[in-house]
Amino acid sequence: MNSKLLEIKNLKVVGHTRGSTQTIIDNLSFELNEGESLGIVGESGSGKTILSKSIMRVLDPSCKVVNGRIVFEGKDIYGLSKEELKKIRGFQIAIIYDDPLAILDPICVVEKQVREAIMTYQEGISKSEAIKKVMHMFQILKMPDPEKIVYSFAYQLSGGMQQRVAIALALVGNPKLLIADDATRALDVTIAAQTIEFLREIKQSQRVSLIWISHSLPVCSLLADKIMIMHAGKCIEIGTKDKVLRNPKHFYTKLLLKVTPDVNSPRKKLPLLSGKSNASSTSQYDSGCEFCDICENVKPICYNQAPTLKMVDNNHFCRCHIFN
Amino acid sequence: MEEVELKKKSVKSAKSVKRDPKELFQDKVFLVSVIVLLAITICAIFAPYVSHYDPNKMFIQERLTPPIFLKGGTVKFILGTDGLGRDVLTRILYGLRNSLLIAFLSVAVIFGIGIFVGLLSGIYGKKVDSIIMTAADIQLSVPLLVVAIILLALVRPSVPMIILVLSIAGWPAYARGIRASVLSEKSKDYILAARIMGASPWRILRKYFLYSVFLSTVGFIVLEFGLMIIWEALLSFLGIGIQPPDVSLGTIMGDGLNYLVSAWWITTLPGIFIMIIVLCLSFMSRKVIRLLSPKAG
Amino acid sequence: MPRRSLFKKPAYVHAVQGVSFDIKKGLIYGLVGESGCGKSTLSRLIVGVEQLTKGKIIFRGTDIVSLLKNNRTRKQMCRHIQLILQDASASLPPNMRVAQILTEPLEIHRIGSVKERIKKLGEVLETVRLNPSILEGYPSELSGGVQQKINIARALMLDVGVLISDESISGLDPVSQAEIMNLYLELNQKNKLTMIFIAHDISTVWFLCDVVIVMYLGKCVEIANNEDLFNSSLHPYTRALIKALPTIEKGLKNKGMYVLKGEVPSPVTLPLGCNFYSRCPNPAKDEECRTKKPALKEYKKNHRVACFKLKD
Repeated sequence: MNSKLLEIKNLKVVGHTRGSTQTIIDNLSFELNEGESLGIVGESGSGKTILSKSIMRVLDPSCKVVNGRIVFEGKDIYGLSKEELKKIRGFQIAIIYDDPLAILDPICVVEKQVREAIMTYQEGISKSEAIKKVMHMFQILKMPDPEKIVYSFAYQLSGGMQQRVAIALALVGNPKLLIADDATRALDVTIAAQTIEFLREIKQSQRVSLIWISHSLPVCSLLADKIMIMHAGKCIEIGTKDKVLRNPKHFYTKLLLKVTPDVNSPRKKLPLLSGKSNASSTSQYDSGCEFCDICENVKPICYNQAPTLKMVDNNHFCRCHIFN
Repeated sequence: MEEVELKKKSVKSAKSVKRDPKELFQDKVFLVSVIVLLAITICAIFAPYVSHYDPNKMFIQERLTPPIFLKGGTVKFILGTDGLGRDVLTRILYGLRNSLLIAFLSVAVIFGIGIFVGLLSGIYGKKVDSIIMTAADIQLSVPLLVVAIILLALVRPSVPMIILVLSIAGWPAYARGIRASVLSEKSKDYILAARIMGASPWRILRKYFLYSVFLSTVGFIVLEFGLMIIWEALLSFLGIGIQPPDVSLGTIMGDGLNYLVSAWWITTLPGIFIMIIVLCLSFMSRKVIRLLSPKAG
Repeated sequence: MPRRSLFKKPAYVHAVQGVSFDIKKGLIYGLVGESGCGKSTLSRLIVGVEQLTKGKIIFRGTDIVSLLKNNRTRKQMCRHIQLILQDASASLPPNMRVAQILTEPLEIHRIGSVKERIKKLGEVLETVRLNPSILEGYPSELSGGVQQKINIARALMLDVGVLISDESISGLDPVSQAEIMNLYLELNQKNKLTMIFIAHDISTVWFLCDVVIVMYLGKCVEIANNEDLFNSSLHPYTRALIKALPTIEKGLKNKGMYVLKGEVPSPVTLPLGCNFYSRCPNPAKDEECRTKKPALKEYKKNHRVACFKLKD
């Protein structure tokens, strides 16, 4: 039985902008076991990036965790001292973004940056030893032309290569958890495929748990064991990949599946969505479900009461009044 | 589908940016700054009515009187007197007149040159840009004081001359700022979209550029105004700006040099006024810029 | 266009090399390829915001290259061909209200009286299914999908015959993408709008386009009808693009992705022979591939491919 690596319990995060307070993440809960991977799907504004920042405890000053707990390997992230946090952040839990240049230092060569990360993680290691480790690491990761890459600046590398270096940096501390926030968004299709396979290798050989965040359901499904659909800061469906994708329960999940063109199916010149226009706009009602304006199965209760997450099957939860 | 109702008004009156000005006046910092600035300006304009003293009248018996908030101060001279017994408050008020006027007119000239030159440079690019920027660089490499000494050595210092000196020294920085703003906007997609729609370069300039360039202008203008006040004070302090019997904040500061330790208020108080003015302008401009910037979605 | 550096000779970026194809009225053409393949440059060449080095663009029988060079005549072309850019919010001027943005094209070309413009505005809003309530506000207050619809509406105000979409849906979330694709489909079917749909994601091209043109590093490598391309693609790059698509099926089966090894060569220093040589997985590639450039040949009816090693 795998131990629990990450537990999010009733997380609530609010943000202050220009005088008003908004709930960015609302009562979110999920678990991740060691070695397991989670795919988080949600459109921009659904709170996915704030979630990853919350886990790393690097929220902007304007955002605050007002409720709930984030427990990593049995320790409460928000109860740790600065010393303990330093060992975890960037090392035990690492993150890569859609823009690798956000992580890579523009003014030093790749070798220097990775070496410094290694020296920070392993205090007392000598510079020459660290350099050896960098080369060793690049070889294990099967980077093409490691000697050339290692002495290049970030801007001299292609997008795909930059992302791989960013991943290497993230792996310096032998992380148990790697968060990939839209990591292949800026990459070309064939390069994205390379990166995904690269990560799959790492997932298996280094036994890293992955949280893969994206707004594309197919991309998320590639590396994940579990899938969570997020919308407006809430989890609306979560379950094993098989259950969520083969037997989706929430209207929005079904919608996401419908709008994904499937190249292998016979082509029909029919619209992907039928009926209501502006399907992506959700209701402005304060109470009640955000989808009440566009959901096909809407009932009177949907306008008044927000649904809660209910278990619909083993390892499969859905936030919808149908399952009351 | 319902009948689409459109008001003629919504098409005709859809003008550029006008945010709700009321928001501006709800900010306390802005309000205080405006009030303080207005108060200072009004007092300066109506100096003869605010203070009944003549700025050059000397009360030799009561020279070096401290201001009212120090030991030895009297109600007669609220901010004290200087080495020749002249009322400091009166001199500051009359001095403000000259300082504010010179700063205002210098900024106006710099604004004119800067917008013209900066837009030309940014939009036409290449040769025109090279020529203008080289001129700006040459000008920037000559310090204010050298310009001042050269020009003011030839002609007797007067208000127009000082404005000329300040404008010559001040235009390059401003023009560069405008040019930078134009260059950054030029590459934006909405300018390209306008070109694709068929808009002429003049139309693009008028309807699209001016807004964003203006936005960056507000910050610059405020900084330049503050800078002009400081520069003018410097020139007058050194004796190559406003000449006696005229007064400016700088001349007062210069007069007080000999008494820095004994009667520090003569030099310090005008400096404090300069500081207050620049701070108020800075607070105001920050709020105005924030107001004019498009709201995030 | 020339790039200059301090010490080297001026280098040219070979954005588009020898591209030729026809666009038939009333169809949706897909232009697919990855970054650096020249598809965006091509779109800008067609509307005249980039200059051609060599070649012709023939529109309704006339070569418009010289027309596009002159500002006045280019303006007339705007009423026939329009381009929608990728970044929806950056394409909209931040200082104008939506109503003004939409009537801007009519003002630029001095079309119609105020009354007629309002009527046209109403029609276009209905076509793209936008709520008139957005007219009073600013574009920055709206979502990405709505912003892109405004861009499309703006182009439709001019009654164009050809609409080019340069990755106009890539930056949107999946549901908005589907909406915009539906809109394009409708515009093509109901309003007979000819479209050139540029994308890097071949699954959207599959859904929308009747004819597909695949580009690699400035050259066309394959042109075919939708069915032919997806059922029996011939060029190894096309195959790679299709195989590299993330799909739910692959996810459910935990299948590995097809990986095309190697990096894309720089468009400044082009390879000697076939542009795709360095990454081509075909075991039969040889000296001919490395040293000579393959031309686009009609291999089957209406199916052109540029490759030396096609199995007969």
